[in-house]
Amino acid sequence: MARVPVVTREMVAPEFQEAYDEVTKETGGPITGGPGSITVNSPEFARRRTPLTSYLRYETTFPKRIQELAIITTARANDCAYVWNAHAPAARREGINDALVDAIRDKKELSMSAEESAVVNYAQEYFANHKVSQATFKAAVDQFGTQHLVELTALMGHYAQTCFFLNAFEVTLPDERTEPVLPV
Amino acid sequence: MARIPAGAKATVPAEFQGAFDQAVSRIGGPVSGGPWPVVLNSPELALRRIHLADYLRKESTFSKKIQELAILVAVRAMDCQYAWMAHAASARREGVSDALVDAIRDKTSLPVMTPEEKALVDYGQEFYSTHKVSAATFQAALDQFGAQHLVELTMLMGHYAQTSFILNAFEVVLPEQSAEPLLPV
Repeated sequence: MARVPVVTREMVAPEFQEAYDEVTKETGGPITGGPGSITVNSPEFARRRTPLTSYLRYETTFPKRIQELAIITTARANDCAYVWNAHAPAARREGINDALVDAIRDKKELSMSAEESAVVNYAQEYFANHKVSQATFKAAVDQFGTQHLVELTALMGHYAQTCFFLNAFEVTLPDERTEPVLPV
Repeated sequence: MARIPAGAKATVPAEFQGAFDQAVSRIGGPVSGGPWPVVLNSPELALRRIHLADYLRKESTFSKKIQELAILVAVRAMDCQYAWMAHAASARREGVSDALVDAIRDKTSLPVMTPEEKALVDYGQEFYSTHKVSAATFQAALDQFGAQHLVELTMLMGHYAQTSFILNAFEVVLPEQSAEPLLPV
């Protein structure tokens, strides 16, 4: 549930029905929860966003644990309980230790590996100040290289966009959860 | 110029050279400013992102004036000098009043707006300052734009916030000439 109703095929303008069918193929009917339930209000937009998400999540070659760390740092900075709830368990599974996940959630400082601190500092600095210091930028580009740093930046921006629509449309958390709710 | 060189066909890995050419063609040819030279360091990302951006910028059917106003609200909230310079001028051209553009820039009290302008500005500013949107502000925006366009306007702001992140983090240098005063950041 959210602030707008579930979109059924009958609600969609004829010119968007083909796009609607494509984005609802996996669920085999109306999308009733999660981010897809919101993006489907604009079927053509949803259809084009999927390949971008897919590239940033599944096709890029930076390590999955760094990806999940980037996502949870973004979710925390944007106060998004939904993304936090979905990705904190994934970050733990990918090998981010519990103490670090909890420290990000609770806004505490913690020592990290060079790779971890390169992405966490980059994201936290940007979301707090809207800029990145020379030292932090250099640590990130040295660690990841230009292509992957561009992709990590885009990934964090992509998830910040996700946080915006999940929060604005008040998409409800799933009932079954393994994570404490993000304190906001 | 920026903190990293522009992505170039000669320097991207062989498997991305096709995507590089396609992305440059979709962008409308080689560009030296803005986010694309940075983004082209990942050609496949650039290609998929331009396809999405084209929908939000060129195919969606909310008015160009509302589109430019949404972009201004997002880039002001993200303190993005580059995107501000590019879009403050186009917002004025599309009919956003000078008083409103200047008030968003200077974070001073907003002038009287049309209900449509107010619905959008309140929605964007509330999210970016508190990370949530009150029921009254959400309802006003939904009544004004409907669900499809409100989703698209939200995505457009999120897209420009992402652009701002790229421009600011990679320190893309401003064009030398601009009719707009600098954003106070």
